[in-house]
Amino acid sequence: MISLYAAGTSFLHRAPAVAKFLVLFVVLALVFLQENLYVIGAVAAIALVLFGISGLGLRRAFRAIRPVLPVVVLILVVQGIFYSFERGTVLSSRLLTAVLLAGLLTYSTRTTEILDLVYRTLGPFRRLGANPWQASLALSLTITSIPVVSASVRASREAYLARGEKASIPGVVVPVAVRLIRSSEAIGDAISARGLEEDPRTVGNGPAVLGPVVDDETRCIHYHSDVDVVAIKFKCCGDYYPCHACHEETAGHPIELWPTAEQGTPGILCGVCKSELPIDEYMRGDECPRCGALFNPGCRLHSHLYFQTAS
Amino acid sequence: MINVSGVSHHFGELPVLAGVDLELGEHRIGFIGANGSGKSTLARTFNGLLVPDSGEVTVGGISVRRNATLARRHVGFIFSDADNQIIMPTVAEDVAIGLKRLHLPADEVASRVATALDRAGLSAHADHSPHLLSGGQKQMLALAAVLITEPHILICDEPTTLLDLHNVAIFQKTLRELDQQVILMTHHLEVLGDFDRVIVMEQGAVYFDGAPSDAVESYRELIARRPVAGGGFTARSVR
Repeated sequence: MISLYAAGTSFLHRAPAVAKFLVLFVVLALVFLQENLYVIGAVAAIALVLFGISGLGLRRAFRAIRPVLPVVVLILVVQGIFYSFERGTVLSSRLLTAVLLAGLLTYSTRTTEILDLVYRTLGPFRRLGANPWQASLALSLTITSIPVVSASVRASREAYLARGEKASIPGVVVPVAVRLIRSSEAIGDAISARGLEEDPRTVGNGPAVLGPVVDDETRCIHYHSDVDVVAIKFKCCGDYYPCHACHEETAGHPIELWPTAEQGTPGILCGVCKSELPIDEYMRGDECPRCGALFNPGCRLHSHLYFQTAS
Repeated sequence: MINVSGVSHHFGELPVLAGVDLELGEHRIGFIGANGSGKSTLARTFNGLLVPDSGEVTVGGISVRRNATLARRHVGFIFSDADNQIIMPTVAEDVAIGLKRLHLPADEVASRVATALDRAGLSAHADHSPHLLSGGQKQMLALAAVLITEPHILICDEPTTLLDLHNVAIFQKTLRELDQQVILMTHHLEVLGDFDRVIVMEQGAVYFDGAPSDAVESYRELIARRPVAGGGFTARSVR
């Protein structure tokens, strides 16, 4: 697999994931409370029509229900023998209809949207120790890893065949498990390297701030009081640094002052709200005009190090 | 700029980095050396995937030991096996997830992803599973997924090891066109011809540091002096 999502532009594809989940939930509840086979059949028929008009096609509808067909047959047989054939038909119809409806959702919704929904839904449980970001990332990795697992099983079986031996179940399972554990370590490294291990809600955004920064609000080893929460974009390189000393120690070139005529351009980063403020707007006050965070008034004493000033 | 100061590391009893001191400021820097010479281990200290036993690495002045999360925003990392870098079920989603922390509007994300996929030559595969791509395409996907976050420095740890010559050429051309500082660990010596600086690693230390042609020559001489161990296979031993 592979992504379950099938690209398209139908109303079903465009509908918000949360709306689709709610409708799915309500309709599934209806189907599972319903004993009338005609009503269940009508819902299944509507699902099939939706497969057709959304461009997903009936082939995908069949692909969705194919894995559960053996279960459907089993239900029919067991219920037919021990209870009644009618009962078996109702139960298996419910299952088939539920799978069709779920298929409509997963084929028409990007994994990203599903993950966002999981992320938002679990948000209130943060205070109970839940980590919505890790939960949604784990869900995504599970979906993404299915082809990796099947490829690993295939490779293991082929290794036995290449040596003229028949693959036993433990003989395949053990090397596959070892390979997957090794692979999971590498994937963990990739997640860290891509900066995805931390919840984006709690990781600061905004442009990168260079230099010996000590926190996520632009404080540095030189200036790190409560109110040292601005970074300055340097005219010479276009990069943000928390202060002139950070630039001097790190950039490897001299500071070029911002000309007076260019001080209307965004050149100050508020470390709290990550807004980029025009230099002249920053110079007029001691707090962030966007979020109200207090700035260090003492920085004014150093403005000649960054900007051309009247004096 | 990456500064490496007195970096040493052991895996158990085995020393893998032995007091490495480097100032890495050039636009494109290559690292070469035999398997086990310490290239990959050193690369992993540049973004905090590995915290060395001793010594300090700073990226743009940020201490990787003290603030790896912050340092990683400046350092993109490409691994040799692109399969392990795939996190999301479709190509476009895998690229887009890197933008999560920027909290951009959906249309801005879509626009940046489209541009990144176009540059990587993957526009036609946006909604495909990454696992259906060829090895070269997967590595271009990994590159797009990293570059979309606009890192200042790109570390590539043997990214062309699993690629054919054609895909090596494509990857090389892409690296050449990047504005970012590129640090490349590789066994493909021909890729390094137009690099600014090439460093040869041997037994966890810097063996040679200089121009690409001199470094490659030094590396070849080093390998030529090394005895070839192992008895090889004979027809009888195979039977």
